[in-house]
Amino acid sequence: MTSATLAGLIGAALVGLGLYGLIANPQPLRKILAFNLMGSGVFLVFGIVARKGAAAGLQADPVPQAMVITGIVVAFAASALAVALVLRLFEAAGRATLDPDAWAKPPDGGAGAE
Amino acid sequence: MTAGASAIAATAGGSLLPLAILLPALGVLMSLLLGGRRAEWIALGLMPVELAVAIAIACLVWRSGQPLVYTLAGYTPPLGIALRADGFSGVMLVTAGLIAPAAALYARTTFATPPELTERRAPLVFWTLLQGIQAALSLLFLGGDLFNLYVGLELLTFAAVPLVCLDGRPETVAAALRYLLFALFGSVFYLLGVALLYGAYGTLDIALLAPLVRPEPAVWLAAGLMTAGLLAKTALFPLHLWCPQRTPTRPPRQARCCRGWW
Repeated sequence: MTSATLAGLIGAALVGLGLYGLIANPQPLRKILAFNLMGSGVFLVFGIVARKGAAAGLQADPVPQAMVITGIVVAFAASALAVALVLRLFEAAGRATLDPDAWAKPPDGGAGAE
Repeated sequence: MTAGASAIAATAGGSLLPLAILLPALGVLMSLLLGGRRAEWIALGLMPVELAVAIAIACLVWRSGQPLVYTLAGYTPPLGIALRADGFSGVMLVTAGLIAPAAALYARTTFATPPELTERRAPLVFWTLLQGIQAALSLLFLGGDLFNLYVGLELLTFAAVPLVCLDGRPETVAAALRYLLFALFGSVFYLLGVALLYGAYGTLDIALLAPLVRPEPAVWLAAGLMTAGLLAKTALFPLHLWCPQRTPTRPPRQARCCRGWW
């Protein structure tokens, strides 16, 4: 197994783990972390693509690396926005849950469980 | 490759294309700088100009029968990024240019800054992000590069999410968070598809990619991932889970703005 294949498999595993976490975890903060895990997997795949140097037969293609940097900035901004929303939600309601049924009940009606 | 060569060289009238993106982006910056009531004036003042630019682009495409192309900083694809307007982009630009002022006029009473105040959070955010949505939409309609489209999609999400929770009630903040998480899931899938396409063909420019693409596993996988990601973002069946909870908790005027666009 070459190192590129290994890195590709790790990238796929990270995306898979992140996807599972994003779907299965009810807590918003864990969902945000899972999204970052997925993003890391995709950036790793971009890194291997850069190594292939598909565009111009270069040793290492700089274009995917530029895309990874842009992607990291976007993912950081997205995480910051999501964390700000979680904080705001906790401030406004005293709990941070995404369960839509919880909002139909009064705040102290025993619906605080995640 | 003559068709490909004509699709990557800049054409006359192409300089209108960055204007369609830069005008609303300039409006966002000016609204943030000047603040308060001026954000509303800037938004309402720029919208007719943006509509005129959109109509000019559509007319030029109609008359020449060829797509308009603008290469950013003069670098041609595959290294550079091209903006491209064909007939469909022209129609979509004009549509967005018509919907935005209609929504703005409709929402004007709700998001007016009260005369006794110099600035209020909700109106300032509304008028600023309304222009942000327009800038992102123009980028989406004109972008000729798949990664550029990803950035446009994220800009659209970041501009739309705060509009969902303008009133700051816990229900709407939770709805905004739920939508944001779904949209992020969609955009990561889209980005993974982009990475696979780049790995297979070494370019992301749509016009250069079109003659290269062959039916093979990498392309099927990339197309599947990108389609699934975009389905999640637009809340099409079966990825509409975030939608029903959001709608009833939203003030109707914001809902109208957002539904028109999605």
